[in-house]
Amino acid sequence: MSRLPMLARAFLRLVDPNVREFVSGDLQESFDRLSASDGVTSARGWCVKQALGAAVTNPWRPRQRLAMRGDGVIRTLLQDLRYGARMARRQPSFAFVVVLTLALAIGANTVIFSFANVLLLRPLPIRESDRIGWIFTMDPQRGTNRGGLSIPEFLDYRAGLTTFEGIVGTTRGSAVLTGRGDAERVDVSYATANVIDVWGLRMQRGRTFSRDADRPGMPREIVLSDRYWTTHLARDPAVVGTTMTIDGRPATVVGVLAPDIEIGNLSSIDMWIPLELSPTASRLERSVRVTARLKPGVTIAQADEEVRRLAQRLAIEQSASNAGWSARVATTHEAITGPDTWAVLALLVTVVGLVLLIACANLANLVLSASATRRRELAVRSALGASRMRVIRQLLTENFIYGIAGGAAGLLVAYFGLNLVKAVSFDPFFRWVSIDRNVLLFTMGLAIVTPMLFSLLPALHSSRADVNEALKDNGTRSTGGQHVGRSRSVLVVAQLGLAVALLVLATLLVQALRNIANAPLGFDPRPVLTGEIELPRWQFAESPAISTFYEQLLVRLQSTPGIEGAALTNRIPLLGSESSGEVAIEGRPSTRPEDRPWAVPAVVSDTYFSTLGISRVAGRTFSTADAPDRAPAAVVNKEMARRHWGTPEAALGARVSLASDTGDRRWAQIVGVVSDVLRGDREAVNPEIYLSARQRPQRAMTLAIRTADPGSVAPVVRGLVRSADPDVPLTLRPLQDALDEDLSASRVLGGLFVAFALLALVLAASGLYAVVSYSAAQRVKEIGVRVALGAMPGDITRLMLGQAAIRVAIGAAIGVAGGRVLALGASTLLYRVSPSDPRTYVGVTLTLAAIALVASYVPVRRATRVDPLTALRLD
Amino acid sequence: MAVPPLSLGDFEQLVLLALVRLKDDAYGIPIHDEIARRARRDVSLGAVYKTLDRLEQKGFVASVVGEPTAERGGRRKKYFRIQPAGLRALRHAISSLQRMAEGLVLEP
Repeated sequence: MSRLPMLARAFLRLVDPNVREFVSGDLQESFDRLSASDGVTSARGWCVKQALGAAVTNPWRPRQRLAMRGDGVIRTLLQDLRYGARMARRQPSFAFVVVLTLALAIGANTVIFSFANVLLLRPLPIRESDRIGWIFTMDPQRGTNRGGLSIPEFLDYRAGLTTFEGIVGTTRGSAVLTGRGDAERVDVSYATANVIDVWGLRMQRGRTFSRDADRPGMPREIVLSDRYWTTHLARDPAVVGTTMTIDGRPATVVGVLAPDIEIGNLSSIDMWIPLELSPTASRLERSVRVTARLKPGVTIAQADEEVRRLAQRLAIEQSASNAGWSARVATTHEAITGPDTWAVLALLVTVVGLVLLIACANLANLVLSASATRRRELAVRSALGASRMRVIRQLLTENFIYGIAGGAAGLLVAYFGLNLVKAVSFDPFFRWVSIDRNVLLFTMGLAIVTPMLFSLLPALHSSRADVNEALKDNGTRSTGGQHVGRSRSVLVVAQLGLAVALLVLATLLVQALRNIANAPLGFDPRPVLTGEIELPRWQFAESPAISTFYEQLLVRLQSTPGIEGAALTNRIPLLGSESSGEVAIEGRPSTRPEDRPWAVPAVVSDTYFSTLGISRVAGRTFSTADAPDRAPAAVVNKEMARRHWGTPEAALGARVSLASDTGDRRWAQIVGVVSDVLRGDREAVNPEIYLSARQRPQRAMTLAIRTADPGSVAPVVRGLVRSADPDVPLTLRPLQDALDEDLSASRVLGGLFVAFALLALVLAASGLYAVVSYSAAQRVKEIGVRVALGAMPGDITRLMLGQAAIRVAIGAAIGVAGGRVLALGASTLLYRVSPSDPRTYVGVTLTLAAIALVASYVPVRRATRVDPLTALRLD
Repeated sequence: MAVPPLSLGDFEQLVLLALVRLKDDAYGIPIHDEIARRARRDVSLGAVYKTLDRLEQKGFVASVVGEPTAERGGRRKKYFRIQPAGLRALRHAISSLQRMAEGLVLEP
């Protein structure tokens, strides 16, 4: 038995319940029979048509039934809604303020929810991603807990693990595509041949990799991404089966992936190529990311235990490469989000939640004032026999209209807000965010719940009014009673407190962002252009050829007018890979594996330090003296020298070797010490070892050019590179841009926090203004008496401002305490800012006091100008 | 002639005839299929139920609710059976039609 089509089920729900069961049963019976004889499609069509027909001929009329109940819920609801709409039309400015406030608060919450939606709710392109475990290697000493595997290690894991049914290895890289016009650099995901099956990806053309495509020596295959196929190959179906030249080797295009996979950082992949699983590859290069599908019935915890055991075994069996390393299995959700993501998200959710609360407090206040003027109307209703429940329901229903309008407007706010975020941010995460069904449902929920939050308190108050009193009152003196006054004060104090707390947090975060942006990097990125060069393997197999090409290039560049310096490095600071290697120091046999020295290596040209503005601390930097046939030289940074020799001078002359040189160790003598460069997370500096590009030529290098005039120099550089070799692709961009891009996500988040805090401040100030002016208006008569008895305007001002000041003081005290709690919660994000930075707290409090003074002074001043005669004649 | 039978509509006649033909197996889908096959009329299941409801109110048919079955997804069937009044009305309708048509050659 197969389920009826969804549409048919929906229609059936509209059928009169007296026959619904029989019609559904009939349809089910025929549906299965028809599916077997005529095919599912025609059966579905028939079924939907019949269900619709049944709904038309035998409709369910629930309203008749409801209307028969004594009260008539629906009729009353409609009546209240109509009345509410009429009220809103009669006081357009009130309606406008309410809807605007709701729109901003709901919009802010919708934006943040759309972020959370991507992280928590949106399905990944991987089929049943909760059954996928991510195997990470860990080395606590290096602070790595999301490391990859080396290729031989991957093979060990694949052979040794029993809890998974498919283990996938991937690594990102780039390759040079030649033979189709200009040489082109493509973004490649190298993956084991089973990736498409295990992840459950869809192909739209051709086939997946053949089963053994990742074995060494097999013919190379390519699977294209939909994006590359569209942008570079004009969706030509004939491309499947053709041959492309990748890194000088032919490879056959076997298929094209469906576009579903193109989200997050997967979206920039141009093509997928089988990862060559060579058992003889280096065990120290841990660049393979491992994802594996759990066997049915196996839990992540069981897999984790097996992986940990295997890692322990490898640490002993392969101690040269694996001592000190362990491994674990992470869930997909943990794996795809960065370590700070949850902290940021939790903070954002807290902040927008508080903004919503402030808005509710504000609206509750507004509605309280509005309902005070309606006391007589409500009293008349009660006198005519309306129950308290009935009055409350009426008031709730009226505000419900504002909720719907505010929700709709909030959706617009969110839509434009998200577009703004996408426009100013480079981070791929934000491109992934959109308003989808989940977000719509969330906004709808808020639109319904929010009015209940802000109208319940006023409704309770209004409905409690003493009918007798209210009817005697002729309307001008409607004070709303002591209860209302106290509630309003409490609401205002709460708003002020929340606003102060948010402002404190936003101010601290802005300082943290400024600190990040201004942190001394250890080099000067400003007038530097960078571009990656990768020499094709098939043309530059020999070290001398590589050296010659790069040396000639540097010479030509340095003699070009406008270029102040040109250098090469295989690791650009801050943005490049920070994978570390173990280091052996001559004469110091390493004791325990955990204590072995390590450093981040880089291969650089002679001119690197001067071009990037990294200063020499001791000894010398590289020069022509470090020729390939001379003794290998090394330069270390201050941090490396401090860790192992104490002072820079003491490090000079020592000999070090990178552990990847096992077997024939090549010792390099430390000839110089340079200043430190900040690490990618900007928290600290790594120990670093620089080796000379003359002695260690690398095919893939990053070109760094110092120039005051990037615009005119860039084409010249491109021309020079092309004239040296037309098959070398090159894109140049300012280093500062790349650094900015690196920070753009934090900038966007900082901007959001500031926007939310300002929103909170504006709401709180307007709330205070409303309360003070309302109470001033209520006390017109009292003020009139005081003035008549000889009080000076100054006395009145002092009296009323004093009352406002008490509220502000209590609010500020609560806010300072709350702000500290928020700041402590966010302390991981507060880069070089103390969560209890006193200047921030004092500054925010003073700002609030100033704004509060203005917000209260305006209405108070108006009150003091009351003509006592007019005031006394009131009533 | 005893009680003057209430007149029957065209579709009501088809439904009642289907009940007579189907005897004990007369519920929604077989009735619908019988009319579709013999009278070659594509009618909706909803219309069949609507008509049966009307006929039941007139006292021409009676219904019995059966047991739930697996092939219907655990839902029950509603069986219909023609009543004496229905039979009389049907007979009357058919004989009127026959009498009217007797000896006529219907040519354009």
